[in-house]
Amino acid sequence: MHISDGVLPISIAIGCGVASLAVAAWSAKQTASEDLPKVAVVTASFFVSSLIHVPLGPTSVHLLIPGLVGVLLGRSAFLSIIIGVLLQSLLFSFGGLTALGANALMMGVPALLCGLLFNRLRGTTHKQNLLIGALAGGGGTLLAASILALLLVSGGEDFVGVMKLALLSHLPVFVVEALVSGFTVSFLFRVKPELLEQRLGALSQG
Amino acid sequence: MTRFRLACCLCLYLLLICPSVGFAELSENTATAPSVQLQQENASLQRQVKRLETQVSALRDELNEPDSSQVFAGIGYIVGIFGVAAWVAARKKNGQGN
Repeated sequence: MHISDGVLPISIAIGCGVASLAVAAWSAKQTASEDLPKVAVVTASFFVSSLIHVPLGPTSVHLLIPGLVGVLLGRSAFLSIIIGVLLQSLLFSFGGLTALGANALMMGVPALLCGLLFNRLRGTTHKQNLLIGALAGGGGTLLAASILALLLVSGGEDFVGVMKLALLSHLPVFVVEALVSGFTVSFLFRVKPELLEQRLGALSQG
Repeated sequence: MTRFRLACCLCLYLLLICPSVGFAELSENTATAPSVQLQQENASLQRQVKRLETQVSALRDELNEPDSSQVFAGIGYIVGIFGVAAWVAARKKNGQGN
């Protein structure tokens, strides 16, 4: 799920670039310096997870994990995602450099929203965490696919058709993402619950 | 004279027409056999070309796949970027502390 060069009209691409830079700057400011190693590790996971391909009939889809990044990083998620997307486009040629802003927004906005959702719901039991993690994972991907469709429409495509295609082709990804995120979150809740704490207290002070 | 002329014409006619008729017959006879052969060869060639095409597209997909060196390069970049950020943050903090 990446937008390539030349798909979007220039004005939209530039607008997305500016918007993503602004959000990234906000996200970087919200990041506590003690959290930098954690952000780095999650960024590396996000960067590499796109290489995990799930075979699906004649084609294959790969993991995106915007939901999981949001759950783990909260407001720092956008910083993590824009760096991950930049390196993916530079090294793996996933998506073009001119569409970088659009790609970052497509993954980063769902990540931020999933982090918010997770923080609001915050399960106290193992099962609750599994469910909330799955919700964040699946929902994050669903949202990313919707943003993808919305952006493609700006390139002059028919909305309903694009939306249908984007959602249908990512149907298995939603399921896989929900499973992966759910199990990861419940596992972290069991072995290292402090990793799921987003430093909101420290952030509201600064 | 006229009879001679007639004979000449007949000869000429035979010379001109008969071989062509013969060739035509010959080519018709031989054309059916090779055309079947050619069709078979064509079909097998087409099959081989198709196989090669699928191999080429598979190879192209493989070439597009990032290899391990790129993965490690990316992880290195991430560690480096956040290392520098942490370093700057630590310097700032120490400066404030002092």
